[in-house]
Amino acid sequence: MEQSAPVLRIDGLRVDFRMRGRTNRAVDGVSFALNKGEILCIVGESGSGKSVTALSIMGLLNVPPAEIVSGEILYKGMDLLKCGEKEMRQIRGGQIAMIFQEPMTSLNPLYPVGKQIAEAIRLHKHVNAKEAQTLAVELLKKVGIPSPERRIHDYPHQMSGGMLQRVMIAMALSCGGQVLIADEPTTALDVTIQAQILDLIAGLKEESMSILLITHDLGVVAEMADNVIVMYMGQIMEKARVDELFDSPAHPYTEGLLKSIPRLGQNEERLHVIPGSISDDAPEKGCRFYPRCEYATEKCAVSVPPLFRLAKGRLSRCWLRENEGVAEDEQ
Amino acid sequence: MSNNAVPLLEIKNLKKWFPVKKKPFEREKLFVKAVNGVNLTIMPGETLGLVGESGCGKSTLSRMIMGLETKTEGEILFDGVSYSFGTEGKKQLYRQVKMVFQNPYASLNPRMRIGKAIAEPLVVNHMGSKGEIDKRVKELLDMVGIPADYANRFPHELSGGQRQRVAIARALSINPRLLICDEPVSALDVSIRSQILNLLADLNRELNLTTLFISHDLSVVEYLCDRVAVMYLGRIMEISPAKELFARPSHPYTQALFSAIPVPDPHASRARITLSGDVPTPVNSPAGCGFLSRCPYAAPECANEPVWDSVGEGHCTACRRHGEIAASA
Repeated sequence: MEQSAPVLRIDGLRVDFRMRGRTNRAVDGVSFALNKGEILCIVGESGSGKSVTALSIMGLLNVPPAEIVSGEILYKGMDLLKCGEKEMRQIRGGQIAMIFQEPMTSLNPLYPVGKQIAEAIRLHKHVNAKEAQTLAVELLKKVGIPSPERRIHDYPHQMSGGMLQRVMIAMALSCGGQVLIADEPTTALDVTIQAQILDLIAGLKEESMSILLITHDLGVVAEMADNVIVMYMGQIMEKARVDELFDSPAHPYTEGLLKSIPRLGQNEERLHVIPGSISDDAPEKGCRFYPRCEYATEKCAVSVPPLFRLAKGRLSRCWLRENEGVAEDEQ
Repeated sequence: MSNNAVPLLEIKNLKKWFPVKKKPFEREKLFVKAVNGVNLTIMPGETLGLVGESGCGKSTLSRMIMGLETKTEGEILFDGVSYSFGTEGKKQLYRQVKMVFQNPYASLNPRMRIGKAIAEPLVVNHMGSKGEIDKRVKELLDMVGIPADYANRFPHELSGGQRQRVAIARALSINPRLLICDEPVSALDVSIRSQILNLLADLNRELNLTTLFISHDLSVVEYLCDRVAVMYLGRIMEISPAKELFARPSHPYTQALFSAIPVPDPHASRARITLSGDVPTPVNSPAGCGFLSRCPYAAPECANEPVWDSVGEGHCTACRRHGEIAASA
């Protein structure tokens, strides 16, 4: 996987939110690379900064209150943070597309879905309205909507949640982008519909699209991901290949998460619990997870652990792994 | 099921049809058949899980049990007595049945201190003097694992998990005979979810609660429930003791539902039954099996009304072809 240059590369991204004189760092030094044909999952609970990371890539953050303090987002060697709005418009949708959790709110309720797809096509390709319409039908067929010739005239309210998410994916595919960012694409859907959408996304990977999948559902991660990033309070806590992450988590937070989900067919008396909650303020110094960690030592309370690079390219931000790897230098 | 004990709640052929606005020149009156002939019993001390996808009628059913929705047809018996929906009957009912909702951000009054919110059901029902009520509130907070001095805080000062604990304490304040939990953990994060699930399991054991637990998350239902009912398009498809259902699902819908859940194990072999299409609309749903349009085993005989068949101890399924399906598997 290391042989070709990554499609998308994030380096030391830091994002602040300033509100009422207070500054909250939502993303704190996040770096990762997305390779061609890879599904990279970002897992984390609410407030872990996973969505903010995605929105920064797309240049969709509200500035202010948000502010990108430092970092680079490199797409094919070009820093997206230095791009002007005009260039960004070409990339957004044309090269990198994003789908969101709520397909109902991402589409305009006043226009038929076909028209909305055609609009996206015509923004990026030089085709006339009729050709765009034909392309829209083909796309809807590709994402598995039955009788697409008829359905392009439907308004969003005439479609179900699963259908709308398919429309969103069709729109994301419309301009032949290389990267798809999917922010909780199945959270609002039922399990049987979720299975259909996940199959569809897995099919896109076969066509060597690079997919950044953001989710909080570890089941989805296990089914879809090649590599996984676990985020907690704006920092990457662990990065690993999916099988390694589930077999031997290298960070206490990952371990806690994996243990606390009830699993089908296993008779557990009690579920494992990570004490406390994420909404408490970040500790002044030391590891972010330290107040909830069952392995916490005195060192964890005073100094922030760096990301340690372990064997097989795994990363873990935990002092317990200090002897197993070298610290990554962070910008 | 034991046959001598009186069930705490018995639902007989319960229906709720919502009329749809008639279009001009349209003869037939249309109905959304949200709940379309449900039979259920809940024994005292039992936790019954109700699973199903959105739009299957599980929330309408719970609202009818709660007395928030009137029925179209059928009967709900509480303790062997039929519901009355008069003022006095409702008062009685609200003393016996309490509910915990999905979103703890919406179900607590933002301007009411949580101690007062928990005390409210006690005050309304004249259950004790002020001193007694204060003592009970402290007891309840302690029971759900919230420090007693939080009683003076407002909901916005609490995290999502803590708010859900408050909602549970409020529901339990008057010792209800039946607790309805409508998706109590689906709005919570993974690490908080296990805390609340453990709390519910502990309370179930300690207080010997009778609970109707509604969820779309099957692993959660398996963890908490004694028996599970699977609902689809306003009807119960399969009902069984929890362990038995997860070991041997016999209705094709249950099987598809189980296989669609992503398993948190990258080594798991995936034999997924992907259902095509969406849940059909419950507007004037045709007779016969509701799952017919998506069922991989559909046969002409399925256009007839499904029949209840026993496939094991307390395990019933509403599929005509379950025998053949089990044989072919």
